This record gives sequence, C-alpha cells and structure tokens, in this order.
Amino acid sequence: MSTDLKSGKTIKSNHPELKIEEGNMVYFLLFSGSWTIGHSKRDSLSEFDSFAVQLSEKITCKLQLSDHCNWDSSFLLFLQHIEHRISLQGAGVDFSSLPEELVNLLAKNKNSQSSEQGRAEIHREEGISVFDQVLSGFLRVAEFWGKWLIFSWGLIRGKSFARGRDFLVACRDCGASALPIVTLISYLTGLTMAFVGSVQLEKFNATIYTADLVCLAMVREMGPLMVAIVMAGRTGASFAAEIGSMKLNEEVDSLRTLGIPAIDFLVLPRTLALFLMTPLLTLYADIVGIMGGLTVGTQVMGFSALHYFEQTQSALLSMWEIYSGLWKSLAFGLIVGLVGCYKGINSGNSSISLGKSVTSSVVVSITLIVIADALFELAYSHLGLR
Amino acid sequence: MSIPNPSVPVIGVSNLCLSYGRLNILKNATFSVEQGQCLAVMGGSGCGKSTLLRSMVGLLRPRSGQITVHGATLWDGRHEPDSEILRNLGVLFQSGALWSSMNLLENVSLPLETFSGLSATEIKELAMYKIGLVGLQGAEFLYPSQLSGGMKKRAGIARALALDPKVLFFDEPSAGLDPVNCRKLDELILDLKQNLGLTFVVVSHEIESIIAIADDGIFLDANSRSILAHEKPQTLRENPSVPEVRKFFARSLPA
Repeated sequence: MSTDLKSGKTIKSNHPELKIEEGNMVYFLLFSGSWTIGHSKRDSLSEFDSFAVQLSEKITCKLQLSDHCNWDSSFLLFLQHIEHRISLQGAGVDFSSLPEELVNLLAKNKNSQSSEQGRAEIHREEGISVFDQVLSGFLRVAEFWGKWLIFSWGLIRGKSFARGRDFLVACRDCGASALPIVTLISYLTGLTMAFVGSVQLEKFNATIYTADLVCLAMVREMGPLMVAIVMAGRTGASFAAEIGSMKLNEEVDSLRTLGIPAIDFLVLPRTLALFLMTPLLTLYADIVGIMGGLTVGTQVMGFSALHYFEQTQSALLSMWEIYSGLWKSLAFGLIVGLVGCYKGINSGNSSISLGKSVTSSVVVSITLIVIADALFELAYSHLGLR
Repeated sequence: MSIPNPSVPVIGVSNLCLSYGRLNILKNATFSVEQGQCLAVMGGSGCGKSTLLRSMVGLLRPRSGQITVHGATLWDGRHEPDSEILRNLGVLFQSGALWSSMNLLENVSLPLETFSGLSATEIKELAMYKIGLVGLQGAEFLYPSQLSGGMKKRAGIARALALDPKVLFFDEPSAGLDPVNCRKLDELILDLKQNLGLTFVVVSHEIESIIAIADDGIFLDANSRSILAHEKPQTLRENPSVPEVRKFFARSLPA
C-alpha cells in the first residue's frame, strides 16, 4: 500500500516533493525536486507533521533521495526537524540511504549544537547593575573633564603636547569652512523672523519695530543657538567620528605608547578651536541675521535701509545685548567640543559603537545646549541683566 | 631615567596579574628579557598574548605585579606610565596603526618633533633615514591609506624606531602578510637586532617565524591563565615539556 500525499507527481518538478510509502514496520520517505533555500518547504512540513502523528515505537523511517533532487543547507534544517519530530513519537530514523556528504553534514551540525552550550557559558559576563553603570559613566565624564582641565592648565604654562598646526587646522575646519552654512541659516532665520514679526506688528501699526525684534532676537538668542546647533551637527559629529575611528584603528593607542596623552594631543586643539570660533561665528551670524531682517524691511515693508539701521541701533541699548549672546556661545562651543571629543575617545571597538557615538554626540550636545541656554537666561534675568 | 645597567634585565616582569574588569586574563607571570634578546610570546588565540603586550607597553594597568624597564617601574602607583620610560619602548601594532591624517614622513617625524628638540631639517633627515632603514624609500609622501599591508607594517616599524628605543614590541607582525613578505619582515627584524642591538618582544603564533627570530620564548595557556613553558622556541619544538606546547608546535588538534 502506498500513501500519496501529493496528487500530481512529476519528479523533475522544481517544487520540493516528499512521497511517503509504507512497508513492513517501515516508512520510506522519498525526497525529490528542489529542496533549496528558494523553495518554500512549509507545505511539505505541515504535511509531514500531520503524517507523523500515526508513527509509533518499533517503526523506522527510512530517508531516501531521488536521483533528481537538489538540496542545500535549508534541506539539512528540514531533515533535522523531521528527525526531531520522528524521535518525539519514539520511532527510529534511518539515514543510511542518504548520500554520504549529507549524512556528514548532519552529524557535524549536531556536534556543533551540542558544544554550543559550553561556549555560551564561557562568554557570558557577570551582570553589572544599573547603579554600577551609571556610576562608571559619571566617573568617566568626571575623569575626562578633570584631565581636560589639567591639560588646559598645562597648555597655559607652556607644557603641552598639543601642536599649533593642529589648532589652526581645527580653526579652519570649524570656523572658516562653516561660514556658508552659517550664512544661509542665520540669513533665513532673520528673514523669517522679520516676516512673522511684521504680520503681528502690523496690527498695531508698528511695523518698524520689526527691526528691534529681529535684532534683539538674533543677538540674544537665535544667533548663538543656531550657530551652536550647526556646530553640534557639523563639527561635534566630525570630532566624534574622527577620534572614534582613530581609536578603532589603534591610532590613539600608538599615541599613548609614545607617552602622548590623547586628551592633550587630540582633544585640546579641537576644543579650543571650537571655543574660540563659536563666538566669532555667532557675531557673524548676528550680523547676517540682521541683514535678513533688513531685506524684508526694505524690500517688503518699504523702509529705507538707513531708517531700518537707525531703529536697529536704538534697539541695542548697550553692547551687553551682544555680549550676553557671545558669553552663551562660548559655553556652547565648549559643550559641543567636549561632548564630541568625549564621545570619540570613549567609543568602543566596533563600527556600530562608532556610529552610536556620533549620533549620541549630536543628541547630547543639542540637549546640553538647550539646557545651558535656559540656565543662561534664568541667570541673566535673576541678575537683572535683561 | 638612570643609565642602563647591564646587570639589570631590559624588561623585568614579576608576579604580573592582568584582568579586564572581573575577567582574569593572566595570573602570576614572571619573566625577564635580557639586552639584545628576542623574546617570543606564544600561545593559542585568546590566551592573553596581546593583553600582556598591551600591559608591557603602558596601555593596560595590571591588576597587580610589576613591570620594570631597565629597572625603572612602568606602572607606579596611580599615575600613567612616565613618558621618559615609554620613550625607550617602540611598538608595532597589528595593523601598523599609522596616523591616517598624516603622510609617512609626518608619521615618523611626529615623535621626533614632540620629544627630540631637533631642528626641522634634522628631524626630516632622521625620519628619512628611518624610512630608508625599513626599505620604504620613495614612499615618504604617501598616506597610510595608499600603502599595502606589508608597507604599513614596515612604516609602523620606522615610526617605532623614530626615537631610537631600546626595546621593540611587535604584535603579530606576520598577521595578514603573504609568506614572502612575512619572511622579509623576519629578516628585517634579525637585521635590526644584529645592527642596532635592539631587544625584541614579539607576540606571534607563526611557528616558522618564531623559530627564525626568537632566542627565548614564553608559552601562555588559555585554560590555566599562566605561563606554561619558558624556553628557547627551538628547544620547545624539539623537546616539548608540556602536551599543550607539543600540540602547538605539531599543529595537532586537542583530543
């Protein structure tokens, strides 16, 4: 008696086919067709599972391969499943008629699975509590910050490995090279503020105060903030990526083996360059932003340039308005530089952790910038400086 | 740093214990390297060879024990190793670890610029000489990304030699090199040993290369986390005292 599980039986078909024939206390499982990754074995599997229910002890399943059968590693997994299913029923499996290489591969796979448990135990690390993680993270930041201060003091005393050349290159990269993007962003910020402001001020017939609005918003808030955010995305990320990939490449280690501390040689020139360049860029952004406002003032609202400038000048009661923004930008520059370099120095030894470091350098920088901005405004208003 | 005393070993390691966090890597390692010797650090993968090297060149603080260079303690208290001591040690990393933003000449010049106090012309001459010493004339202005694997290693040696160190540490010098380049590198090492009288510590599992260059060897074991044998590699191959060492040299699988 033979049980045909599939109705059509074309041996050369591309579909995987499993024919089951019953003998004396034995079932012959005959595989034909393509048992490869590209062909789904789900149907055959469910058919076999429903067949396997009738298996019992003392019955043997003999596996056979037809002449026209292609197979690859997915077939191995299928056979494993079948074997598992058959042994669950207590029946026996006979692989002896399968090709030799297939039997060898099956045996090898079984061996590697049984030794896997031992390996996993070797690599399992002891759990580290959340408290330990937070504490060690805090200590790392503190160590970095402390070393940075010590090496900065060393630089002031003239005892430093930092090279002037590196400082100048970093100044160019984070200063002059950033001018186009800073120009575009601050000009459009000024322009937008002028548009938005003029619509509101028109209700009070006070459109000329657009000049005051744009000027004060730019120098107090938008100039420093916009420049800082551009720096975080542009320069901070590049610091993290640059130092992180140096670490990945053992370049930081090769500095250390010469006795050159990475914080001194790599971090100090970059952070100082950003510390100095951010206020300069902010000053530039303030001016360009006011120019954006001027464009709207003269072209849309019809004021003369002189009138607009006079109004702008009268809005600036003292130079403190500008200085207050520049103080902020000094702090922002320091934040971006330190966070970028810290993330680079502490990035792990894989490309994934490098990517994470770069991402988190931008996220952390922007978060800290916004928090610092709020603290500055609070301090200014408490001290009566606004 | 004191003047080298011939009776003191160039590198002395006593009761060294290394660990990464809670994971112990090496326990109670004691050995020394004499002037002009080449010590091979052998063992299977994951036995702590590279970790031992990292500790000896001042990158990894030992858990306990001492490392001395010409009698001066490398890891003293909580301080980072003194740059005066580190200057006596040159290191070749597995991939060369050249500074990728600088060309070959700048790579070799940087240690000189930082520590020597020589004039720019002198530094350039000296750097060119070191580059010639490793056979890389004409490649001075190439960047590390433009160099082949073998050239990177040679360039790494030139940079390690920049400050005329007394000891050179090589981390897997033959890894990733074809047999011919591997052989050339061995010859370069022998050449440097003979002509400059340098002391070498070489981490390797390339048996032929070890036999060719090393005068002394230590064999680390991943299971016991300790030094299993301390002998000349030639002797270890001919009369292995421990089964693990015999398997290593015979390239046979564990039973």
